[in-house]
Amino acid sequence: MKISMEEIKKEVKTMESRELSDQTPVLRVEPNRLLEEMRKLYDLGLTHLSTIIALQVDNKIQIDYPLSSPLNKKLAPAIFVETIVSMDKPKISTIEDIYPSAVTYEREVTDLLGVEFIGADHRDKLLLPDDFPDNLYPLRKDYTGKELQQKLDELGVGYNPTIPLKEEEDYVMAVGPQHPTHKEPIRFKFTVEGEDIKNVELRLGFNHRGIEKALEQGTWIKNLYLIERICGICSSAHQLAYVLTAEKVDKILDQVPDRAQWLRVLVSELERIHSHILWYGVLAHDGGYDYMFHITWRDREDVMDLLEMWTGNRVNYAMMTIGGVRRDIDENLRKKMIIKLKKLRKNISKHKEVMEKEKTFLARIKNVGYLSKEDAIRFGAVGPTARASNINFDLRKDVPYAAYKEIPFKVYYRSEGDVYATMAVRLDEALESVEMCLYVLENLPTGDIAIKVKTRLQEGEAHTRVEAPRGEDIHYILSDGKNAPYRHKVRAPTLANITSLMYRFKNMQVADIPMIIRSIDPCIGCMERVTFVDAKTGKTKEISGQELISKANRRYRLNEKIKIFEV
Amino acid sequence: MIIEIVKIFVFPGIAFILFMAFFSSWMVRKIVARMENRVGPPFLQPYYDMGKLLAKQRVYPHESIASIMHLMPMIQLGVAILIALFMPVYSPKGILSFDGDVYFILFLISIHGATAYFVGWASRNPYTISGAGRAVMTEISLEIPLAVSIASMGIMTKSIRISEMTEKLGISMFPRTETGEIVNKLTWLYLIPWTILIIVAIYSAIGALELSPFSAPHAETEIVHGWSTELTGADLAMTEMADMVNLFNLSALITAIFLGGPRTGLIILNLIEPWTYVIGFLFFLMKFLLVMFILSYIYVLSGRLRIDQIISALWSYFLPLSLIGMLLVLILETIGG
Amino acid sequence: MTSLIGYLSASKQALKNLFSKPVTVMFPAEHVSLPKGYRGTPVLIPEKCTLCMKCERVCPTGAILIEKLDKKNGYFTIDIGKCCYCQECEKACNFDAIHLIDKWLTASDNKEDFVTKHFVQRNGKKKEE
Repeated sequence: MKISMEEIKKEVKTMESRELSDQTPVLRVEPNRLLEEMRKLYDLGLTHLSTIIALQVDNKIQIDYPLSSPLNKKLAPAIFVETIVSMDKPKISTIEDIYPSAVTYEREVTDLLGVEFIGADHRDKLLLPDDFPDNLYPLRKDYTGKELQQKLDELGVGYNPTIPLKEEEDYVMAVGPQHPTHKEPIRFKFTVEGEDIKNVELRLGFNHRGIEKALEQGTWIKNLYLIERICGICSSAHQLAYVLTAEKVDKILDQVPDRAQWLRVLVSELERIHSHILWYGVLAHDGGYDYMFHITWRDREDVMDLLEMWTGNRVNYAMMTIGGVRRDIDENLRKKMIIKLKKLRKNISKHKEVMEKEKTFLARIKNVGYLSKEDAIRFGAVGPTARASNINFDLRKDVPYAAYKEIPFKVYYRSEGDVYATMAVRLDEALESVEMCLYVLENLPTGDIAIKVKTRLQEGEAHTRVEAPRGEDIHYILSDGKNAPYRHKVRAPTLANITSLMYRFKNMQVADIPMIIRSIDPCIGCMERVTFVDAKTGKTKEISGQELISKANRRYRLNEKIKIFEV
Repeated sequence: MIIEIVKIFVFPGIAFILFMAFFSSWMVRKIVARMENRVGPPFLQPYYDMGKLLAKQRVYPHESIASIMHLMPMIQLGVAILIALFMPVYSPKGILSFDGDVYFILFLISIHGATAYFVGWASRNPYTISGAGRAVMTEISLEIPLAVSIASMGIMTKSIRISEMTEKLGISMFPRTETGEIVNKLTWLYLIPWTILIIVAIYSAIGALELSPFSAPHAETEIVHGWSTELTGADLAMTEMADMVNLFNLSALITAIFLGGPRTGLIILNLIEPWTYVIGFLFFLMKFLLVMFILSYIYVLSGRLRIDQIISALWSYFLPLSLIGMLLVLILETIGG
Repeated sequence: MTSLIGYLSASKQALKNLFSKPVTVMFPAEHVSLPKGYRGTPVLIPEKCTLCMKCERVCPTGAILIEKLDKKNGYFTIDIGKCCYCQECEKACNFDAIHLIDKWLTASDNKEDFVTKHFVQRNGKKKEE
């Protein structure tokens, strides 16, 4: 039964229905009917919750739930379910029973806007430090970014964390915030029995940078370069999502020249190639197969050189601008790029050959971290993670943006659902991306690369979902006609995949931890605090970085042993 | 008397052993780097590393047992050097040599696993305890295949003394008359069990050295640095040095037992006293480098197996393989002898 | 596990690498070549600058600071510690006065080394075309 959008609209009891600037239907429902309507929509096939967008409008808080379906192609473009709650003591029922992935998004909304979710368990802070004041919500419009920063400095937030001490009987192994497995700070707390994993807990937000708040203070052009710095690897995916959304808000998307759209595809695909090569190189390193790690990273230099030749930098390409792209490709460069891409295609095929054959390595990734198709849908997995679990969904194909409609390519998906499948999908995708780049370079339309845009955009709201190398990346912008966005919401692919990641550890061993964490290609911010687990008593103690350094210095001066495990 | 002292402390004693250990460590790193298309470390890198580590401050975590963490690395290094003294370098006889020394060496190798366990346990850290458990499991699993393969060579050469095994290897595998003709017609068949046994021995050596594919006790991405995570300064230097000496030991042991050590093999040279030693040493070096190359070759081209996979590989593939090798040797001995 | 094919599968490539030149660039003795149009350190040509403030307004990180003494004279400060190398200033400038050149070795122990301060005297001439 494949149901269409019109039928959906009929099914839901809405207070009013409107459209965003990009013709996305918005169904506004009453807060007390939300749970009921969401359940109905889930049963109708809208199984994927991209994120929860919450923002303050006057004295109300507006909460949007962008829903879509990964299986029903008619419902692939998102539909917004909206509800509005009052500012003082905002309350809404949780939807975690229907969409398990909503837990992280709801905790984020609680942290940043102070919305209480009825029916949810007691939830600790997810993004903000534990000593963040209770009645202060950063994304409310009470304070501007500067004032907020001043206030937090006065209070000394982040320097005097409360120290939760937990009595634990089990044997705990902390992976992160600093661990050789992942260079970025995220903390998994594994309860282990010998080599078997029994339980896992997660803590995010070791350095929540507050980019969404900062974006409200910049200008439309300045924000381009802040958006880019959300992630170093998929910077242009974020930038692309941002410029597309801004163009939708300003209603100039159809005026953007073809050549610009094609070049946007080119930079996105080159980025996907380097991201995927980096990823499977690091996967090989996690599996102790350092040979492939070095070889893949050697060959990745080719695509980095390509990007450097064209954009002038190895990372943070600064290629997109509202209304087009910033640098053109001349004939000379085009020829050079084609030669390099052909070399790259040969190299990636070699990687594929070795990585899909080497048995000692395959033994580590086959049948490890299994995620079934049903679970992948239920936990809202996106991108290559979902495609490795037999979901044939790619935003480039199903909700085409930029020039993807005009470029032929194949979507790869596998049915195994383990770490091996995520690797195979990415290897195939990297090869396919090389083909796409060659196609773009050979069929590049002529014309301008950008149109001129006013410094102020029109009023309006829009959202864009792009297929970043790691999966679906959603940007939402509400503009009130000023030279900065009123609200800019970003949800990077890792947050969507983290829920399903926790379920992958079931029945696995300590040795599988790095491979499973790697399977979603995690990308996290910077470190704030450290956890120490006492091996003997199992007591957990959290110490801030500053405290630790001062402690270490003090002990060093007094010539004592460093006592980290004080209880 | 002076010659004896020089032998023990200079050549082929402690100074030479340490030099060879640093050299082999550099060699492995260089081969690995070149295979990965990198430049690799300069020749003196292991010396710099050790110098720096020895100069560093030692830190012991709270509630750890500092004395064990301090003592065990020293025992490791001492044991490693003791093993090295048995290795024949220029003549078939090492500095130390007695009947049954092969088994004494096997015993000493297993001490390394025990000390690793003590260090991991004394450090009181989830990573070290995990690594210690893995180290012991690997050690136990690899010991039997290694012992069986060495015993088979003992059967082949009818000896349990390294110097005799080295000396008799060529004669027992390729017995000749004085004119140089091979007497025993079964002689080429000996190559079958020999190949099986040397493969088992090389893989066991890789396990004892904690290199890939058997590097789980040191798995960097899983348990930071395994049982030696909490070691610092001189303690870490001692362990690292013990690892280097063991690299020399196991390569030299395989060279001596399976490749005839400093023997010239089929090439018969009639030389006077000091020159036989020089030629012997050169032959030893060549064979030693070959073994080192094979070790690093397997190391660089393998992924890291999980601990349960290591155990199942060693018990269900390498142990039966070594037993098959032994059986073949016995059959050949019965028929031929 | 039983079949021997599939072990040491990268042997051919590895042995080839063993006898070929390493790809490592021995920095700092040798450098990689930079492509044309590389976005490096921003450098001001004070003679061309007219203190029009356009670059300061467009800079996303506030790396450019212009202090006007009077209508014709002023100080132009570039802090590459703040610069994000986006090239917006070069795009914005109508007089070709600021460029991102291929200088990239900018690391320093001292924060003051990142700041370059120019005295700019506006000579009243517009860009010659």
